Amino acid sequence: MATYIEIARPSYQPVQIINPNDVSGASLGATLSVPFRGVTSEPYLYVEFPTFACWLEASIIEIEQQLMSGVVSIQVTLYDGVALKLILNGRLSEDGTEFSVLGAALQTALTEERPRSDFVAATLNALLGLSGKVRLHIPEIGLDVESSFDISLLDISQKLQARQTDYRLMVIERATGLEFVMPTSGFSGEEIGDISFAYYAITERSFIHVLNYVQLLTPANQESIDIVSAIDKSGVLPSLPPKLETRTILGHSVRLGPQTYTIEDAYVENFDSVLQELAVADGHEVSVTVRSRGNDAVYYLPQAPQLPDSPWTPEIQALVDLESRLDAELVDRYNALAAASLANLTDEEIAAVTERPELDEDAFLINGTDRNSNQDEGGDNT
Amino acid sequence: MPIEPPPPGTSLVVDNDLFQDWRFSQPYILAEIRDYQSRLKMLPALTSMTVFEALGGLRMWKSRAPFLMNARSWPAMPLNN
Repeated sequence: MATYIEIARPSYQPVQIINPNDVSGASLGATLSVPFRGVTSEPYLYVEFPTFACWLEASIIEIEQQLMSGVVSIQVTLYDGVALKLILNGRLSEDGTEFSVLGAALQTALTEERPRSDFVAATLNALLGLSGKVRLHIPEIGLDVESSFDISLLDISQKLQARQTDYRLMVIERATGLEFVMPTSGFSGEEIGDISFAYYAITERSFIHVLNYVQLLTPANQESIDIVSAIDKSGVLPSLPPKLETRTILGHSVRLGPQTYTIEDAYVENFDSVLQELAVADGHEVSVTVRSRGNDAVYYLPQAPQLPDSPWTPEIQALVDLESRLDAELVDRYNALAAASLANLTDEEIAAVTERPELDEDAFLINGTDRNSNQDEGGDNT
Repeated sequence: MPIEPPPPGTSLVVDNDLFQDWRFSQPYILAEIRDYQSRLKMLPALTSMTVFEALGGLRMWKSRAPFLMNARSWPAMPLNN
């Protein structure tokens, strides 16, 4: 089977602190008049991401004021299935007319266990982490603060991985009409592989994907010798008769239609012994294993389900279109981190700090072991 | 580029040569890192040997010029010692 990295489904419950040092320190610069005036029946929270030149609009469903405790909690619906809670920490003035915002936190939560909800939440978290400055704006209560979120690059990277899986599930749902419920315990490597395969079948129809080997049963005769020899000599396993391909994804059978594939860097495993067995020429079935040197094959699924021309709402499409920019921002951060390891060093210092250590014969001894005693026992110290 | 295009979906690691080129911001490795992230939504891993060798350079420098360590602030490192 293909080897994939298992991706655990991220939790969207942790509170993201904006300017954590400011929570008990300097003001974020916002002072709200109390009681909150002009709050209409449907106020909005606007979250603006200047780095990406975009913003999100979220309908506020509740403002909970615990002013004496220094907390204002604002709950919004970001999208179907995604709730957002903005928690403002601050101080009420002595005369009780103003609330100074000292810090803020955002908490996202899924109210619907669907790929689309997960996708929106993952995109939001990635945006928060990669945007640098984020502007939070609620015109109705006079809130207008700009700050940054403290999310590690590793966390952001994991969000983008989850986002990719979410998007692929959305594509499969949209093309097949199925509705997936997200698992609570992440995906197995095999599930990630099936999701990837179905996604490419739908979006590409002809694509390169993992294939470790093909097992063929062929009678022991001269014709089989010719076929097997041709495969090994040409390195090409021609297309086999089509078979109906179905992958099981989150408990649903995803029918992908007839499938064929070819291996373009094929070789026959144990070629000489296979030839010897085929040369018996008594017609008995011989198992022939054909492998790909690159562990892949070109798949053709011409009748796989298709996406409609405009599969997403404008809001979702806008989030989908952010992918390349999110990737670029993340990679730029990592590249800067790598470059920073040599920053401000002289050429001599760089040469020294990048010099490889010379390893002697004991370099790979396991710490604390006695080489002589291991050799006596025939042990392997490497 | 010293490596051929990998099969799709294959996780890769960065060896010490590539890691050094990455630290020197060589354009080819920056492009490869960008492409890898675009496809797999992750960065290639550093092998333990790569980390060992990178840390070895730091230790050697520290042992040869300890005064430098005190004379200036240490640059940010993407490695945990």
